Amino acid sequence: MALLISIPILGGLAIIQSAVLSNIPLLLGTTDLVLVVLLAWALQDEVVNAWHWSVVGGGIMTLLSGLPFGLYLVTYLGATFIARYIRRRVWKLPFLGMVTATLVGTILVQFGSWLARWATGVYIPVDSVLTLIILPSMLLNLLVTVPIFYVIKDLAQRLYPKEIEV
Amino acid sequence: MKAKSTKKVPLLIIIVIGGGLIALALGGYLTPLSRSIINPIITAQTWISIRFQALQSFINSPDDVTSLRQENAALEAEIARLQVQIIEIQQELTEAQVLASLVDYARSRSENRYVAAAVIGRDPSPFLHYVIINRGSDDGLRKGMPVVTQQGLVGQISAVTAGAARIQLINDPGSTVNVLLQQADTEAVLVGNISGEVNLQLIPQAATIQAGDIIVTSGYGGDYPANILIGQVSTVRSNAYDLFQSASVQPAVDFSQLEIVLIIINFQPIDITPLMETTGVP
Repeated sequence: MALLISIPILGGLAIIQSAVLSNIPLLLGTTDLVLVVLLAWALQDEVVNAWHWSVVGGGIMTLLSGLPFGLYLVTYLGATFIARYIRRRVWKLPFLGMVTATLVGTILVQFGSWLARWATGVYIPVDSVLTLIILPSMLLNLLVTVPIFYVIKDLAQRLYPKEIEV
Repeated sequence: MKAKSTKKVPLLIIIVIGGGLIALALGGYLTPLSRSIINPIITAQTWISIRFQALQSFINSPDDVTSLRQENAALEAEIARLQVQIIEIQQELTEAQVLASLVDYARSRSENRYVAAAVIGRDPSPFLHYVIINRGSDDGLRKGMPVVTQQGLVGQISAVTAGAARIQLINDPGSTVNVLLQQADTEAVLVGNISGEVNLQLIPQAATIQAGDIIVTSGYGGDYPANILIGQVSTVRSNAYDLFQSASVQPAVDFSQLEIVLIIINFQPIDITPLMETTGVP
């Protein structure tokens, strides 16, 4: 059920990202809704299929984006790994973990995109990437972190209800 | 017998008095008397009636408020619906104007065949200046086909699916276009930039170029047809110790406002890569 529901959720978010959020950038940075949702999902204690969600999200973004095939898949899996690692370390402060994961995950995805463009023969100066894309994207992702984290937390609790001992 | 006659006397008196009163009333002689009796009654009735009506309206007022609220909500919904309709009509009008100008453009270049497509999204990665359109291989689109608007060159198709295609804009950092500077009659290369600007490179030092010079596609390289407007030179950078001059370009197309584009479907890009391979040639 949790895996099936990931397809419409992540698909819808990817469409919103492409059709709406890409048109409202901060400098050149844009909000990566799919990434933030994947990180929030991976940080939930109840969730057991965070990797599956990353594969679905990465696959959908790979279809939409012109970046080399599989780049989103690899970077989203990497971001999920980071989120799971952070969850084990700061499990008592889930929101702090979410903020940390968002910052690190954004850097990972954007750095991966920059490397991919470099590998395909398009070199973009690092200072431009940092000031025009990575930092604004981090800020935008942090802005949506709070609502997304709590919405995903609620979703996880609905999909994985806690067992009550009688 | 005597008792019976005594009973009839009061009745007779009553009839006489009643008849007399009626006669007096019909004659108008009782009006002052009746007025003095009726006036207090009317006053009292008016007082009670006003209070009763006030009480009645107070009791019934929630119903009125409810019905007014319902009516207000219905009217607000109607206003909202009409506003949406106005926005839709305005949008359709704008689209019609854009389409009309695109048709004019297509008529002015009758040697080309076009397919119009709506821009439905942008690449989610900020590292790519690509847009997604709602036409694909089912509509005859192929990779490499040039894309224009009535203002000028937009880019070329980089990937196609059955129902959609991805367009690489000319301001993408990976885009290069061979161009011709019309006034200077010299060739150069137009390259994109991550910031969305476009620049001219490889302009010969001998060429005399200045701000305002018109830039069109040269057709060299086989990627684009010749003579499609791109923009005009905004600033020129020329150093004596450089091999080439460079320049900033003001594109004719506003890439942030792309809504409808035309794809030139009878132009097939030519791959000249095999001609450029020199390895192993004696």
